[in-house]
This record gives sequence, structure tokens and C-alpha cells, in this order.
Amino acid sequence: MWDLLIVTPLTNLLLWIYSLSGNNFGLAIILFTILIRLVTWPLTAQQLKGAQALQELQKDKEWQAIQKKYAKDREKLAQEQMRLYKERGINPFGSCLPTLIQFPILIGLYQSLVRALATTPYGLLQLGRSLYPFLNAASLIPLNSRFLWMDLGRPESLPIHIGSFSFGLPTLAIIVAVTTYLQSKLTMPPSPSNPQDASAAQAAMMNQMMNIYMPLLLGYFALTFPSGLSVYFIVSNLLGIVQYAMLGKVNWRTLLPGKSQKK
Amino acid sequence: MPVFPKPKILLLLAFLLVLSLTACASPRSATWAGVYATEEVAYLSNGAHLFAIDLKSGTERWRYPEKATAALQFYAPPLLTSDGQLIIGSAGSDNALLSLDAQSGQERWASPFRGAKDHWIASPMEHQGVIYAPNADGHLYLLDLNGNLLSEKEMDKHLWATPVADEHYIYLAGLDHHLYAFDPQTRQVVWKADLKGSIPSRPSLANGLILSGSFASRLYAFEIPGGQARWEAQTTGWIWGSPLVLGENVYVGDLAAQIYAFRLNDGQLLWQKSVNGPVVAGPVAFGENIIFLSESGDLYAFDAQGNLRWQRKLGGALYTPPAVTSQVLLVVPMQAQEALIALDAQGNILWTFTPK
Repeated sequence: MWDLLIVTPLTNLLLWIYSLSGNNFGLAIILFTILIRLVTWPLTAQQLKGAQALQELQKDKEWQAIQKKYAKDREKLAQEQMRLYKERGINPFGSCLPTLIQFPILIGLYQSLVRALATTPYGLLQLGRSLYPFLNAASLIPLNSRFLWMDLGRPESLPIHIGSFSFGLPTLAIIVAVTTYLQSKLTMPPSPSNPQDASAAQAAMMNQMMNIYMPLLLGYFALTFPSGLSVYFIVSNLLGIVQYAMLGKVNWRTLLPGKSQKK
Repeated sequence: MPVFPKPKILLLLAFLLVLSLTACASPRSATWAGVYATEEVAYLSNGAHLFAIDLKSGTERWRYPEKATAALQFYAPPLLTSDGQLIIGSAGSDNALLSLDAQSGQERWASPFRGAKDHWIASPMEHQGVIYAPNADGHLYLLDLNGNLLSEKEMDKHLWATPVADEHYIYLAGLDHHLYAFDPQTRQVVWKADLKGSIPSRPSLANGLILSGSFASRLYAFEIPGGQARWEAQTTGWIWGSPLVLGENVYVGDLAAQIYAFRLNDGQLLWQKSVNGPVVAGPVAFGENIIFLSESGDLYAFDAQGNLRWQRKLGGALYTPPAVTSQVLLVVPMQAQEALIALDAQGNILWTFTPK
């Protein structure tokens, strides 16, 4: 079912874009990423709206009052928070749902990339079966996996020669880590400075952890998985920043030293 | 009820993402297998090992390597050279081409050849003391019998098919849709033909013709050595396996679960039958029978007129061509408990081999 509903359609979409982009798989991945970003635009907007509503709620006097009043009774605190969410019409999961929906897309995309590149006989057999009749599969296969200096079916490293010393620099992994960090940093909502709000302090700490671990995690993926996935990560990160900027939500000050989270 | 759920959920998602991606991580995770046999020993490429199996008893003589590693994965059967070496390429992480002693399974070369940039899907071929090894990086590597690189020739794209040779040229098929004629003297491509689709299996030579099917759902015949097109014949589905030439006929199967007999001279269709599943492997001749295998796990023995002599359900998925000796048919089922099944000419199972 997963294959039928997610992987096969994504594979065909990818190959359709590939056929329209002059059999350039790198360009196809970039266009595919833009398309995915456009389709999930309403979800991202909803995510922003939900995050902003939560952020504003934390500045609310009543919210701060219940934090103080029930600081030692977490169960009661949770009940009161839920009441406030309900009263103000806020869905506490509103900012998480879009991320949840994008999660299967990411997994499906990875599987589609691997399937489309078909680097094994079994993979090629599977690819042949996955393709819809409107694609002229026989003429498309094998895909041209070369893009710039990369083979998109393999992890990337740029050969560097300094005199007699040579090594492979994992350029894409570095760019993935940097763009992921930038996106997290620029789009993370500022945490309130209320020292009484233990949950907000905890959230701020978690945000900081995410700022560190997510770039490392995606950088590791870029280091070990086909570089086509890295191209997706980079384009997706950059588009994410652009999208947030267009919505006026990018907090450029967070890039400055000492301006990390507080407004 | 979490007080501020987003970061925790994101961390959980990140963890799930790691699990999901690493669980389906390797693009090479779905393995392939192959077998080659002499009258005494079968050499079975199966995942991380190459096994030598005694043909009389069906027992293991040796395996290489002793312990499985991710660096070595074997998809294609080895080449047995004129001086008793087994040459086999790895589809694992280090892209090694190895030489083993056929008797003992010990490494023969001082070190494996690691000059290729991608993995080895095809078996190499020996011609006049030179090893011709096609690699998925699109290069045909020429080595001497000691593993020294003599030269390399870059083709358009991935090479997954074992070459064949006659007294003139080496013939090589590529996933890049081309059939190449390569001059072993000048080490240059003399001619190439566009077969309009990928060619994952070796071509066949017979009666002054070279034959190959492709993903264009066609079987092509070219005259050799010149490369002039003689005929082409339409099939229902993609042709994956090598055609079998026997007498005046050529036999082939396709992924649309059809098998065909064409007249070798002009490509006229003689007969066509349906089988229970896609036919990935090329047919082989075994005694008086033409043996077809289907992905559904069925084995078929036909006579030259297309009459079914016997059929046997082996189970698993049959993707790769069987090996044949004078007495035994060796079939490699995948996604099955047994790694190798030996049958006689009537389709009776003689023994099965399951690695311990």
C-alpha cells in the first residue's frame, strides 16, 4: 500500500519531470523539490500560524499567571493550558501536523530516488514495474545520474588535490548541514523570556538541541546516502528560508552572535 | 499531555526518520545471484559469499570469504579462466575484482583489482589470455591473468552484461541501449548499434549473427563482423535475458510472461506461449529440452516445436539463468530457503543446497 500510494507515484512524477528537463536528473530533483514545496505551501503557512499563535499565547498574562500558580502541579497546569488552548481556538499540534505530513514525503522521496536510479538488477526490475504507461520507460532507462561533478546515485565527495596529497571533500554534506542550521536558526520562533515559564525554558533548550542535532543528522545522511537526496535537502532548505522570508517570518537577527533566541 | 509538544515530536520524528532511512538505506540491499558449473563443481554467487559446491553430493567444498562483510557482495557467477582461476567482481562497498583458486578458494592475485569506480554486476570474460571485465561505471577493463590493468575503454553508461567474443571482435552490450563491437587488437570500438532500450544480458553468437534483445521489446539480429542489421522481431514485453540459439531457431522470453521461438535466418515467429510469470533469465538447452524459468518459480521444459515436456514449481523467484552440465541442471531460486537446486533431465530434484 505504501508503495502503491507513495513510492510509485513519486517515482513516476520524478521521471516525468526528468523527461521534461532534458534527461537531467539533478534538474529534475530541483524542480521536484520546488513542486513539493509549492504543494505543501498551505501546510507550511498553517505551521507558521500555529507556531505564532503558541508564541503569542506565552506572552498572555493569563498564561503566565497559570504558569506561576500551578508551577508545582504539572497535571493541573496541563489541564489549565488545555482550557486556554480551547478558549483561544489554538490547536497545540497545529505547528507539528505539517511536519508530520512531510515526513512520509521525505521517506517516499528517498525510496523514489533509489528506485529511479536502479543501481542493482533487482532495483531495475522493480523500476520497470513501477512506471506508468504514459512514460516511455524504455527510452528513459537508464537515468543520466551525472549532475555537475556528482553522480546522484552515490554519496558525493569532491576530489581535492594539493600537491601530492589528495582527498575527497564531502561538499554536499557540509552544505546540507549549513543550510539546515541556517533554516532552523532563521525560522525558529523566539522563546519568551519569562523565567517563571518552565515549559518555555524547556522548549528553548529543545530548540537549541534541534539546531545542533538536525544539521548533524541530515549532514550524516548526505555523507552516506545517494547525493540526489542531498540535492533535495539543500534545495528544500533554501526554499524553506525563502518561503519564510516571503511570509515575513525570518528572524535574521538570530544569526548575529549573542542574539540567539530572544527578541 | 505534553506542555509544549513540538520539539519533542520533532526529535521523535528525527529518530523515526533515521530508522526508516537506514532500514531501507542501501540501494544495493536487494541482492542477486548467479551460478557457473563444471562437471564436478558448482560455483554459486550468493550475497556475501561465493560457494564451491560438490555436484555429486550437493555439499559445500569451500566458501569465500569465511566471514561475510559489507565490502563483498556477489551478484554474478565467476569466470573460470584457462589457468584455473575464478575471477569475480563484487557489488559490495569496495568494488573489488578478485581472483580465487578454483580448487581451494584462496586468493590468487597479490591484491584485488580496485580500479573501477562502481560495482560489478556482470561476470568477466577471458579471450586469448586477457580478462575483459565490464563494470557499472561504464568502463570495460582489460586485465592480464595476474590482475594487472592493461587498458580500459569507456562506453556511454553502465555495463551489466558479460561480453562474448569471436575471432574478430569482443561484443558488449550496455544499459545505454548500445551493442558494441570492440577490436581487441586496436582496443577501439569498431561499430555500435542502437537497440532503443537497455540491454542487461550478454548477446548470443551463432551462424554469423549476433543476437540481443532489449527493453525496447524487440529481438535484434546483426551480421558479424560488419554489424549490418539482419532482422528484428517484436515481443510483448521487455527482453531481459540472453537469447538461446539452438539449431535453426532462436528462443527468448520477456517480462510480459511470454516465450518465443523465432527462425534464426530471418526472424520469423515460429511459436509463442504464455507462462506463469515474467521471464527474466534467458533460456538454456539441457539435453533435448529448452528450459525456461519464470519469476513465479516455475521451470518449463519445451521441445523445439513448442510442446511442453514437463513443468515443475520450484518456489521462490527465478531471475538468473541456470547452469547446465551433462547430467545436472542447476537453478538459483531467490527469496527462497534453498540457494541452489539440482535437477535431472526429467525435472526431478537431485539435491538442494542451503548455506549454513
